[in-house]
Amino acid sequence: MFLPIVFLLYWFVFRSLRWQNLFVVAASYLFYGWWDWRFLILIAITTFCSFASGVWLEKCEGQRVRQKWISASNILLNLVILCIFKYYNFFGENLAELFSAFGMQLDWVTLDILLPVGISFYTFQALSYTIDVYQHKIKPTRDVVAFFAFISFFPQLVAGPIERATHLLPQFLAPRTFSYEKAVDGMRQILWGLFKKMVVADNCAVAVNLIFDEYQTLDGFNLFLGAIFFTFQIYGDFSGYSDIAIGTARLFGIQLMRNFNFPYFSRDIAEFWRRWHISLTTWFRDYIYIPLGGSRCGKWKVARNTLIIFLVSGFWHGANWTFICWGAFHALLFFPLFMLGKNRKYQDVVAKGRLLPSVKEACQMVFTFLLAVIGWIIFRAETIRQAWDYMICMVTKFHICMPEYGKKALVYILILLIVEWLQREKQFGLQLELKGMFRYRTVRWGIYYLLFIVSLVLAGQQEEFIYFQF
Amino acid sequence: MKKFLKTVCLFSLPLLLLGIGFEYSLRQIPNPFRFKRYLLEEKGEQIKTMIIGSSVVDYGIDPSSLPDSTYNLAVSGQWFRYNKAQLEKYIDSLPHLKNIIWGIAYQALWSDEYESGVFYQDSKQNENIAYYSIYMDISFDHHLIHRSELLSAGKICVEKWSKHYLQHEKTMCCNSLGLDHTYDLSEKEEDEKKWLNAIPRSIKMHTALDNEKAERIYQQNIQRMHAVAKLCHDRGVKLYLVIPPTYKKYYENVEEGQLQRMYLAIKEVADKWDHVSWYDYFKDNRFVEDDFHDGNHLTSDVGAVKFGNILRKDIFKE
Repeated sequence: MFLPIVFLLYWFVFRSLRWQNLFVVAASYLFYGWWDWRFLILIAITTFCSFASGVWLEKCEGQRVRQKWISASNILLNLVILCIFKYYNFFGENLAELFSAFGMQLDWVTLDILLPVGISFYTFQALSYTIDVYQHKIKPTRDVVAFFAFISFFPQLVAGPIERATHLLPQFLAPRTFSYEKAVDGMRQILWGLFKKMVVADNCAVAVNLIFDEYQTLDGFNLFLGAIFFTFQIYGDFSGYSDIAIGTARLFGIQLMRNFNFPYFSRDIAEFWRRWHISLTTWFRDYIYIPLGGSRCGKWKVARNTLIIFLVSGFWHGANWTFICWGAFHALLFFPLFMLGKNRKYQDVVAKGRLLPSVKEACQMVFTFLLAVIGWIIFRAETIRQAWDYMICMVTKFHICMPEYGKKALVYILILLIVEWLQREKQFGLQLELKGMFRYRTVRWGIYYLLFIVSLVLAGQQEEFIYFQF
Repeated sequence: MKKFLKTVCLFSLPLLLLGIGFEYSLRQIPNPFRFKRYLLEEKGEQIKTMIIGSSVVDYGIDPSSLPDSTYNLAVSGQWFRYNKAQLEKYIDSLPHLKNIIWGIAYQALWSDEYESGVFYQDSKQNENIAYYSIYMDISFDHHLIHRSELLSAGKICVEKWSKHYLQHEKTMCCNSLGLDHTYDLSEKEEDEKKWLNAIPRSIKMHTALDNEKAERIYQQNIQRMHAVAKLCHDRGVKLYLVIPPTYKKYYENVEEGQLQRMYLAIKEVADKWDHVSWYDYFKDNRFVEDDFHDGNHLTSDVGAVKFGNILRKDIFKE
């Protein structure tokens, strides 16, 4: 009920720009406060400090040292908040473990801290503003309401896409007009996102939970399937959320950046990373990799920079060694491509203009996909030890047999793959061009009805979006 | 904008009509909730002993093994909140009620239909909340989602619909005294390895997490037990708190701390009220493999009969 009410009020009651922005802030805070109202204070602090630092940076124009201090202070403040709420216990536990090896007990270092939903997403968005203002990529805004709307815009507040101030903030500063075509396209994207989340991800989740819980008693083939299921669970879950967020934003006349570009049709791991969680990878590229020297320095420095962004990317996902290890694993896969200068080889869509890929392309895609699957085992496991054991069991006990769990999920995955393969040159799976048989409304609506009913009827057990915890 | 709203309305109308039709047809399907209400309302005059609780007794105590006029009114997945609400609603329409046997599962004291985040991968039980509201007229809120089977249960109700209308299979397996035969021996997983392997998972799902919410629910459930005890006391009804048997692999692997806290809570209630007594069969080794459908549920046609006979001897001294 939330979305229709907000949509109608937004376009019919709050018509002026300022009122619309104010309403977006109110609706977003209501949306976020629904989980835990206490964390509204946190997001308000982050937003206000970033806004104030922007204003201050403008006042200190021409005084570069002072500007440096202002932006550094705001970045530090945001990172401290993030570290306290997300990483405090991780460091505390590791410190306690280290000291216990020397016979010293440090039980007091861990605290019972709740993780605010989406803290990494909105913190990174706020950081991007401060850095962009400091680097003169954007003029600081004095419109506090628009700025609050930019940080808290509810469709992407809790799980991205992580927007840049240069892209999103101007949209809150200019009047928005309603576009029928964009709104309809947004609805299609929401529907496709719901299908990916409710049918693919939630059904895979059931099998994944069972298989990862019982991995010691299952055979290798089922463990392999478990890893495949998680590969599609996390994709359906996260890209599904992104589709819903982007589609919803379009209903409000806002264009969010693309977050996924059919990553499992990648021909190498570098291409995978250009297609997976695009808003985060480009964030790391722009704000960490390039400032460290990017690729315009010696090979070893570039290798160091690459390793850093992969490790940070892993650590961004959560306070667990498994995420760091996952990042390191991808760095290892990336290095050979980089050293051979092949990391930018595949920029276009695979098998463009053709129905099927060549044998070489198919092999490359399967190989890249399997590497990603191994990475997801590390990501999904509770500990590195469990990930290792899982992989050992998967290899040593492998023999082809009937799947124990998730037979239906395999069918849903197949449907997803077929549709996305056919639509891989589009923005999302359900983006229809009004030509051919899709010229007819009956055909289009038939597809929407089918998808809508299928999403309800075949939905798995409701699971919270995985990326909310990040 | 007008065009968009018109399109959305036009698109939604058939879905709405389909939804209403589907909801109506769902409500025509027999289900245990409606049947237990029927027993309470139509057989209320006869009921002398009633069994309440969750699935561990819904499938696990055969009322025909107990003295005459015993009815099994437990509902699968029904925790203390609704145990109490159901009793409060009907106790005054049961003039001959003398005994209540309340089956308490290992996880019951930490369970609440309205809460999640207490057990591993649990979720709010919207479908059960809706069933109580629609079929038993017991509700704690006014949410639209809890007034519709379709909205609250989604996939489950489609499966139910298909089972009833397309496959013509039973959707309700209760006998005339309320014992649910869904867990008959013939329905048990044939592969011994499979059902044994499922036990550690069940235990994981039944072990309360160590968090504030779990503690709050535990305390609330103790209060609910006291409230039920008082209700029984005021009407001269004896209350028997019964902990049903579990399979060896189950009871050997449960969290001892949680088990002891369960005993502590039950003992506290039994000590406070003279008309309340408790019986513990959790680790009873008289029950063998065929008596169990899974780690913590008895088979309805074998284990439940055996358990009923044991209860008759222990409680009613017959």
